[in-house]
Amino acid sequence: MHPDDKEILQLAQDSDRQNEALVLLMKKYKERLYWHIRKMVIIHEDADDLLQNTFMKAWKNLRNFRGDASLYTWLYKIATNETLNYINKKKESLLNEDADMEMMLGNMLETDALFSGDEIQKRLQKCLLALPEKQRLVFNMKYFDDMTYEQISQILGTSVGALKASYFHAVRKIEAFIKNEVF
Amino acid sequence: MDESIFGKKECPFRVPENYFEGFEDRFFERMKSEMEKKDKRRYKTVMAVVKPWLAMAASFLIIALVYYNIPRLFKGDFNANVVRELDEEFINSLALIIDENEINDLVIEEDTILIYPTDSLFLGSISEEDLFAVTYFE
Repeated sequence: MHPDDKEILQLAQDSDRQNEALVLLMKKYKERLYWHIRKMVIIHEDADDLLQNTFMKAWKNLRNFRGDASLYTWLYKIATNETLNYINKKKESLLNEDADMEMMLGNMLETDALFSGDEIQKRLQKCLLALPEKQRLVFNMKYFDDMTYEQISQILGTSVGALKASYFHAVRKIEAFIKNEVF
Repeated sequence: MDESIFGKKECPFRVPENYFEGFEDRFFERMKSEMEKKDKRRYKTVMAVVKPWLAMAASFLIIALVYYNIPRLFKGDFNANVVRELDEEFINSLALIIDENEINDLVIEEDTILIYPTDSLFLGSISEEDLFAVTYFE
């Protein structure tokens, strides 16, 4: 049984018990955040690094958290920003090496011992890698995490209408990829 | 959403064994090492700020040392000149009271022990004052 967010925040206000609050925060949200990150970066080690960075940032700013949004939304925002920044940086560095991130991660799915999906799931992941990051993010949050557009809107700071359009485009593209057997 | 097209909704990835169980410990270990790195970086930053000031202070010190030592060096030369003048005076005074051969015996190199000839007027040591006195009365 996880403690209430309010309890965690109250603990965080006490400088002597800040680490205790952080442990509770990690215990409560680490798994959900991990899977959110992992679906975007594919590689476990990268997801682990980004999850740690997320909690590091949360720890630094926990005392200043004003509570405008829920703790869960706030953490999701941090994790999403960390992940998107990481992907952009990695893409940039791969571009300098004349390599393609989509292809690299696609090949990794073939050999990754930590990928346990079947062929259809593998194909879906490859299709997702071909989408723009924002569409991939929206698709993951809607399809895999069953989040409502309102929840996604709070995390990504995008209007519900734009999110619906994003998801629609993502679905259409994936269907086309599958139909044309691109992957 | 049709799962036959997109596959099962469940996440197709796995994590290494006990990954989530040990997460907090790993996190705090990393936090500790990053704090240590940060402290080292902070020390380097402080040194980077202080270094030019230390260098400037050191150069001022060197300038001050040189400035105060130069007069002493010149003073040393000045004393040497005075000694040289006194030596010349001594020889000139001797010339008035003793013959050339005796002077040759006496003109010896600096810092050597004076050994006078047995028939010399100056058996034993002679001070400058004595010498001047002798010169004056002659």
